[in-house]
Amino acid sequence: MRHLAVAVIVVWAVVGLPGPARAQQATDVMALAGQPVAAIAIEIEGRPEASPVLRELLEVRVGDPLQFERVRESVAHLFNLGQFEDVAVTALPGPDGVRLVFALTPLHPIDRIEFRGSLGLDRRTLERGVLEQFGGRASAARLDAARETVTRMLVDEGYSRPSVVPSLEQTHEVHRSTLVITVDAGPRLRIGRVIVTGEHPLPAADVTTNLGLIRGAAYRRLATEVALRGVAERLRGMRYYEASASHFATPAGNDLVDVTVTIDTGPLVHIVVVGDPLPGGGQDEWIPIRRENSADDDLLEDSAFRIRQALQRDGFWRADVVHERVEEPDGARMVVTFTIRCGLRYQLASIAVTGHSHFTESDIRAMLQLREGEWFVETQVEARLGALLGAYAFAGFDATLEYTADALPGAEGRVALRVDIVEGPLRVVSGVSIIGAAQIPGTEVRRVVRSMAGQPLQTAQVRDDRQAIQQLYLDRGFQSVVVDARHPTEAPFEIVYEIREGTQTIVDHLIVVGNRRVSTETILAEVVLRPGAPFGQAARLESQRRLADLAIFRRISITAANEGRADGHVDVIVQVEEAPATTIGYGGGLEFGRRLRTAVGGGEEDALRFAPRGFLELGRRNLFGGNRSATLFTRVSLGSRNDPGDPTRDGRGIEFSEYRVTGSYRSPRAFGSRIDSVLSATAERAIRTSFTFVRRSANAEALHRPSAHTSVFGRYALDSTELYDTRIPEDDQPLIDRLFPQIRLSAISGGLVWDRRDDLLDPTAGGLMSIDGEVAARSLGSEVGFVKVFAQALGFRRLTRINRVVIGGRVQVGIARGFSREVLIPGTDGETEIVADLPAGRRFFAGGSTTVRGFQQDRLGVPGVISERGYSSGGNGVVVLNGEVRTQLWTDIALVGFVDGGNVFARAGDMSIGDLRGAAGVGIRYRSPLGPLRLDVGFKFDRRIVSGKRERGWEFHVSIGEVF
Amino acid sequence: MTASWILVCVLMAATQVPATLDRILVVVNGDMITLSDVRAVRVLKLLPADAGDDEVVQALIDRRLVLAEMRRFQVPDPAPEAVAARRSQWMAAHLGEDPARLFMMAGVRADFVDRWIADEFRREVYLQQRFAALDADRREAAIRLWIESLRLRAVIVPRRQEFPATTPAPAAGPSRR
Repeated sequence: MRHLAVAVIVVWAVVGLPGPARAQQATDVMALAGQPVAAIAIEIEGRPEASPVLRELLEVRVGDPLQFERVRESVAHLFNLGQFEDVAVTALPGPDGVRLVFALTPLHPIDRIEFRGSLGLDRRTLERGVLEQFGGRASAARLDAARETVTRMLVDEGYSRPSVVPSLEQTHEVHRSTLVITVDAGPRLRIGRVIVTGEHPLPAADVTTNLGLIRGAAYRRLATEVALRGVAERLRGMRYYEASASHFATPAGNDLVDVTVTIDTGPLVHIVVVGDPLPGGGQDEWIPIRRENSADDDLLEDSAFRIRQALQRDGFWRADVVHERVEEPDGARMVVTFTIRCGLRYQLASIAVTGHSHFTESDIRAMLQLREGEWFVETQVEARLGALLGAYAFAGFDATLEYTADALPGAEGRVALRVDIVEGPLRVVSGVSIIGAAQIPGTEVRRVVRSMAGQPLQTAQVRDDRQAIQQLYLDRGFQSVVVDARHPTEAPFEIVYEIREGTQTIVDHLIVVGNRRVSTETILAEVVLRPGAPFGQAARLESQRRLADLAIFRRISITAANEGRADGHVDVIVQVEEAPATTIGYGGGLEFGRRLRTAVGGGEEDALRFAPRGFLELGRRNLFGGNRSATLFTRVSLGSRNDPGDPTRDGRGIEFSEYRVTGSYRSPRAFGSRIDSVLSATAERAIRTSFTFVRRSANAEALHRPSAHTSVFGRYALDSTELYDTRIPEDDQPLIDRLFPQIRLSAISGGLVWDRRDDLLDPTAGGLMSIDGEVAARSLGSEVGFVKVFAQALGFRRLTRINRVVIGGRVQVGIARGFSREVLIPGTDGETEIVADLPAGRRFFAGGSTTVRGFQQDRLGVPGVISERGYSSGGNGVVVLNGEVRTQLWTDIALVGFVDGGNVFARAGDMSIGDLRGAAGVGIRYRSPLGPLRLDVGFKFDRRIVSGKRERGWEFHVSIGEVF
Repeated sequence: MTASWILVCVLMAATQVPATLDRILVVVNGDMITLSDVRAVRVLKLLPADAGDDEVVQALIDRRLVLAEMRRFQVPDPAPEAVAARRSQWMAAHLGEDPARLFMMAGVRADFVDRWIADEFRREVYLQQRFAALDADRREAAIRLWIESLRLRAVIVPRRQEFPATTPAPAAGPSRR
């Protein structure tokens, strides 16, 4: 009985107590610190979650004493995932310790926008307007901004009192939201009266019709404003450069508005140039008011300035250009008068330099690049003097200089230039100190400093050193490092680099967010940042570059979350936005032309060719969660039949004359290795003027880059080509054999490339070495067997004393040998012979724009390789040597001198230096956006008799890109 | 009798309300301010003791915005001696308390206070330099306006309208387990 009484009291105490009193049962948070953690649970919207990824991010462990700090870190990691809008942690003490619950509230990003109600406007127009506001991404939409946008759009279209109510509807199976915008557009304003004020030369009806201002029509404020801008633009095109057009609407009852349009043409503008003539070019070029449709003061002032500068560049040192606007009293006309006074054209009469001792006068004159007798251009003089000061600074002088330019008396413009230099003492570095390097050893910091005791003090070098130290620290994760560099203004010149290191940022967790199809492992494989390692700038940029190279993401960012923690540990968030996985490309075209066809009466005749064609390309990226992609390209062409043997069919009727189907599969880092691989297969049929070919090929390639400058590749290729309907001229046969070998080739090849060139298109330093080999064998399925090796080495060097000159050289050597095989002798009764030839497409050729430039394309070879008519059948050995001197003449123009040598030999064993043929010549390069455009003229060292005639002594070549 | 007490204990445990250890209160430019941040500041008395929870949160938001702005200008850290001196003053306010226990209750590492003090120094230097041309009264007003402009530019998203009660700072003096 007593027990029952106690129980009743307890139940009453717990259940029956009023709320506030019961709340006193709440656990004292502070009392939980240090108690053992008995259990940890994760819940998402109240449902238990067992994701190992989430568990991995928790810093608290079962059995450990509860530490608030670790709870806070766990919350930060979970929040940094970017998937949860709230993370709450509750604790309940029990007999065996504290039970923790991490309650996660997921974000519900907006993935749809839905409009409901009476919209007033087209649904898609409204949706486009809202999406434009948020950069095309529904997920970025905000309710208040969406309401403002829709309201503004409706008001602009004449709905004066729309009701727009946005709300979110969440789905919880997949955590997404729909932005629902409920609209009641209300009544639309209509146009009552239209009043146009202001005089203008445009037809009145034209104005109102173009503006769409018709009585009873919907009043569209924004469209009217846009149309009025068009009216003003038209008037400016008629030289009313200050024209404006505006409108306002006044309520007229019953949802009608009266629209008043005001057009102000402003004055008609005339441009007058008086005094001396404009520099070369028309008035519109120098005073572009017609092009810019404006005659505002800024444009006129700019015009005067540019004319003055152009005249001064031509030597009119004291040229003056002023402009004046005069408006007629009635405001109908405005005259802008440009007055040009060229004055005398000045020549540089003399150059005097004083105060120099470190550089000789001839040195200084060479640096100034000024000569007596040339036109005097003051801006050019100032730029050259700036360069001279730079040369002094480089030599260790804190020099100052002044110049005077005096016009000499006389009728001709002549200028005496005098340059007074104060060199000051030579400043030599007495020592270099580094202060404040604690977390990175001073010796390591010193390694990036290039200023040294005993060297001239160069302020530019000191600046570079400071940046190098700063970069070193940034790359080690010291994001707030400050480096100061200082040196006294008087000797001894000791350079002091003072470093305030700040806190080193260390990667705590790497968190990948935003990936949907690409696996986290694929992304992390490209990220060179590691947990526990510094969050360095170089590693961050390299990671971003590698991820961008995957070409499967639209956006990539790598940032640190929760920066500012005392211990410098940060979560690094790798945020990606995947590009669409499937890409589709298609297109079509039409080809007209003339082709030969077999005539019914015999012979051949010209016929019109009409060939519609189309292509379709399908691509799929991010296959199997990795950076693997597959593409299928198909092209098909309809054309007239090609049947030379049947004159009744040839060139008549329609067939699928040409097709090409290519499938490829690309897998970077194949099978978990560091090897990139590509598999591809192609089948095609195409018609050429004198033949039709069908080709089938399959390739498997593997590429590995052990370092930034070295790459190794391997390839297997199976290729088979057949020619049909041939009517090939004899002269073209060697080339056809080379491009379309009518045999099946199955070959394995591989190579090694070491490339240290500073620029692939236009190198000025470094070099490249490569070697590759190829083996085809009947055991691999090839109809012929051979082995082939090709090696080359090239190097470049900028001449240090003359910056604009680069010398370069290249050596290429190739050898090949066919495997013996037995072939039938044509015209015999089954007799055979053993041959060891190479397919024409695998032989070596030389001569032309990329090898030996004194010869035509592929016309170089020893007798036997070159036929009597001068055509090359290719050889089993080749040597090519090139030497070039490239000189920059102007910014985009370079002059090249070259010496080339080489030859093609029938057999590798025949190769001999004594048989090389040479050529020398000159060329011009123009640095175009496509790469260097090249014109070379080469002259043979010796001319030989070919086809009974002496060879031409020279050849010219036009091409894109350097020879090597 | 024993059974009665067991029943009492069970019922007491069953009715115990879980304590909220931590949660996100507000997100400032993607950076969170949590209940534990508020608790740490109050336990360590880094802001005036009479400030309410909401005032502490607003102060933390302002501080976060100013520090983020300062990161653009690479304000250097103060000299370690200056930090040590101010830390001594702070310790004096916690006379008799076990620092290790204090940090544990606050849920922070031992160097948290040093970092806070260093940031305070940097903040003072930065504000001093930025508003150097103004006298003291006008400077205060200008700083308030400037922080207000930082708030207007920032994306501040409250995660919860009502803040769970944080435990008040423990009284000064020897602590008892």
